[in-house]
Amino acid sequence: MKRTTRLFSLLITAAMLLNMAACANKPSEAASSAAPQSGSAAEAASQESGSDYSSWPEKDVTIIYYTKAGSGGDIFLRQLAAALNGKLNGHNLLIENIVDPTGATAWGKVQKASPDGYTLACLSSTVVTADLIGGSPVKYEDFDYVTGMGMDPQYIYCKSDAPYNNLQELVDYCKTNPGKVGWATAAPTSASTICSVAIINQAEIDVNRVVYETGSDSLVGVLGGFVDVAVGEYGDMAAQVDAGELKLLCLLSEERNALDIPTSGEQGFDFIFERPRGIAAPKGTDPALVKRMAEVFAQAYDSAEFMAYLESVAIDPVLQSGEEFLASYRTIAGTVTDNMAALTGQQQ
Amino acid sequence: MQLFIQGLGQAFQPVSMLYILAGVIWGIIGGAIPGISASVAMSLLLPFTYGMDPLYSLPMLAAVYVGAEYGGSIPAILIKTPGTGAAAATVLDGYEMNRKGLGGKALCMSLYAGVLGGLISIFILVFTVIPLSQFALKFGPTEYFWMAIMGLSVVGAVSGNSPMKGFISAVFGLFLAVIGMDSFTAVKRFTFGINRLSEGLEMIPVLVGMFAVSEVLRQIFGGEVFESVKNKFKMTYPTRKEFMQCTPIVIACGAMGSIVGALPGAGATIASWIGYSETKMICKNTETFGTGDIRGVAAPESANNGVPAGGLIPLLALGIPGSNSTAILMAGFTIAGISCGPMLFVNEPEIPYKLMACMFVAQIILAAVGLLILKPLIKLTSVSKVYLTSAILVFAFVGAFATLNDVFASWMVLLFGFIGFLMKRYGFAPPAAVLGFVLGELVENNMRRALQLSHGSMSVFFSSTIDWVLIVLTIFGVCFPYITKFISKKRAERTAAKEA
Amino acid sequence: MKNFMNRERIIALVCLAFAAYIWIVAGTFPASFLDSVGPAKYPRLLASLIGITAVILFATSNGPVKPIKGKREFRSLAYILLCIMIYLLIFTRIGFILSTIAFLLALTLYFDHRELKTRLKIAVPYAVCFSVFLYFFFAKLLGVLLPSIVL
Repeated sequence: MKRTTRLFSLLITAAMLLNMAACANKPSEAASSAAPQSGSAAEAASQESGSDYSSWPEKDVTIIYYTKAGSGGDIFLRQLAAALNGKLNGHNLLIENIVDPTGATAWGKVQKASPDGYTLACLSSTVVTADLIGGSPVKYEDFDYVTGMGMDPQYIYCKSDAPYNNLQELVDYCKTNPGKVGWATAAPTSASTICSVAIINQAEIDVNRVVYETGSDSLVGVLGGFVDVAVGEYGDMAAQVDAGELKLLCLLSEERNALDIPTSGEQGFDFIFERPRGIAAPKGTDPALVKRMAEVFAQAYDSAEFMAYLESVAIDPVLQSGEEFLASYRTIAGTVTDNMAALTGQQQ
Repeated sequence: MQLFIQGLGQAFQPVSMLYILAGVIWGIIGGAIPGISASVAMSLLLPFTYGMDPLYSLPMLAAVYVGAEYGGSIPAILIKTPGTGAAAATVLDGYEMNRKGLGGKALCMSLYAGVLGGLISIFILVFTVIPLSQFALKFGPTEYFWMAIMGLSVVGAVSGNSPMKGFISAVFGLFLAVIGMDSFTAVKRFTFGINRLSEGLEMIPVLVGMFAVSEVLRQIFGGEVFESVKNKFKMTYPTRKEFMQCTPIVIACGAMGSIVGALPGAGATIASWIGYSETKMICKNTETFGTGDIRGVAAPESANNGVPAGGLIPLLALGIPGSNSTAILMAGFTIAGISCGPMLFVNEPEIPYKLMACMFVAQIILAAVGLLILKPLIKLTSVSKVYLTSAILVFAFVGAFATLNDVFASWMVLLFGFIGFLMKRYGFAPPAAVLGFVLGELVENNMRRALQLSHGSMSVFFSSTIDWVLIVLTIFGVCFPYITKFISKKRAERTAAKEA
Repeated sequence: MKNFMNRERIIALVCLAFAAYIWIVAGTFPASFLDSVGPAKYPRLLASLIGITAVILFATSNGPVKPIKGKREFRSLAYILLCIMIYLLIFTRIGFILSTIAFLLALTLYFDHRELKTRLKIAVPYAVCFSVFLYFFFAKLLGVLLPSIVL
């Protein structure tokens, strides 16, 4: 009896070792979307040398993201994976969540990965803010940007009974009531804070800035009447706007979108905050490969479900090339550096 | 109300119950694994809901939430490892009961408290969802601040023999919450240049380290692990008297849990501590809390099981997800194409009530499943100490790893395990530190925010009725044991004088 | 004078030193006009609370202090701390399953005092099965990125 137990455990160990050797390099796929898939075995892909990448992808592509499964950005990626189902030569888009609020671990991993087009990052504006404000070791410039896949614009909002209806009236009100208007902002590295600070500086108004932890918390602050104005994403406030509790004062961009709210651009504020989210590759990836990847990802826009999803969470469908994507992030960087002192409450 | 009954009829269908059962089981498993919290367990199920009929996907997700809040107490009681943050308070008395061989009793009471507390909270939800949501909006920074202080006021109860060292432990915990980037000024505080720390310490590694790993280290240092005597398998159940004693506590804490759950800034963790602390203050003869008093298990467990239903309130009525778990539920709604918020009650009111009905069913199924697994669980942990201890350690490190997908979390577990070990050895109170850590962010951020709103004036902390209610409750809670002692002493003196 | 420094007083001094450390480091935080409190006041408040309590503790702990009862297995403690540190270091290098098997064996074989043969008979299958079970449960089912063999 002793010998059989021994033999049994040896066999199990051997089987496991073999299994692990076969699984080396294969990230866990339990995180992939529910899209039905022909299970791709871990084929050792032969690298495409030369500039013809029309057969990309030849194996599963991994996109790494920095927030956990179920978060907004993660759902976006899963929708993307579902939309690209069948367009990846029978392979999958795998999503890896390496949770780190500054993004450093997740994006750092992509930066160090081999530029063969199979390890990519999904970026959000956090990559810029964590770099410039948070001192993250991951520099936002150190990627080869592939494509921007949607804009998450910011809106200024307030309670519907407030005595102002657009940005200009708000500014005028603030000027006649210095220090009285409560303006909620979220954490220093968030888009809402950066936008708020930029507007407050440009308009040269004196408001009482109140800091909350997240956009959702500032929404609660506005609803409860503790603060007057806040900046956030439409998805957070849609329910309240529909119910008539909140009103949108302004869209922080150049042109109007489907919601037809006056924009900061048309009201004379030289302030653009384009906040795209998109895909980037490790630096040094062959530009021809980058182009091919952008073409493949753009096919997600052919999917009606994907477009419907974008509409449901109020992401503006804007496809950008790699250069345009990087340029957007550079404008964010510019806004941040211009307003760095005010962001952190230092004396200018 | 009739919509709720209608919903119940639908929820009790066999197919629907199957989905809820699956959700409850998955929730218990997820909650029981330290590192997998309720929200992570729910998010793991989310991709599967894409193709599902929302009739079943939403109840399933809600059932996971319900199951997970109970599941967290299982390892808390059995191996001093809270499976979810909200089970930390359960460790205090639950593990002590297990050490005395009363683990079955503790688990059973935890189940009873959880289910009953959950049912109470659902009733509250059904009858008061809209007014309660408006009430929740009235909670501003000062209210949250006082609520956190109320939770902290139990520090005396968890301090053990030295109140001063307990106090230092709690302040140490508050300090741990400071580590990271300041939300207000982006200044990095006490991060030692480690980028991973710039968002602060993660809760699970600290909890698991301070509780489970420090206990393992203590056992090893004290030579307990060398005992080769196998633990006898003993199954105990609560007595009828204990049930009756705990029921009023459960009802009160369950109700309180649903109110706390309805507040967007507070969650199950805070609810469980407030439940523990208020029960300890208000009930009689609570000196035994912390040494294995069964009421110390009933109170936090009913509080944290009352939270899921409460969390539905801002989600459904206002469209605001108050916690990570409700955010996942909201994602489930979005995937199903339903938008939450005030218009939901106007346009499609049967949907929210149906969800409440499904939560009701989930609680019942939880009771059934929980009873089934009671004995096997106790049996599982009566193996030889060496094997149990090594398994706990691996579980702790892997679970922590799971929170971040980075081994850094596991190093944190080791560090806090060692710190907790030193603290226990020299008379300090790791539970107090955990309490301070968990509540620290609420305390500091709301204090500063309140001062921002009031332009620096301190009177804002005493400005609203809710503030005063909380302050009075806190002071009353702290003083009550002294008052009762004083009264009974006077009474004894008077009787002695009469007899003289 | 021999009784001046006892264990409790040393503990109080350590706490006081810790409070001083917090106080000093908090002084390096830049002030801000954004909120009247600033990033330094609250940590300093905590530091003073600890400091004052530590002083009280120091003052009230005169007289003999009871020694801590119980065994002190320093070697076992050192051994397990070492094992854990090695485990975490090799975790990412040789993968989850192998390092966990090694760790479990290191613990169970050291602490179990029965005969070597009986120990191995139970420890090896336990280590292997538990590690494999955890791997499949966490990596496959839950999607946690446990490292497999990195060669």
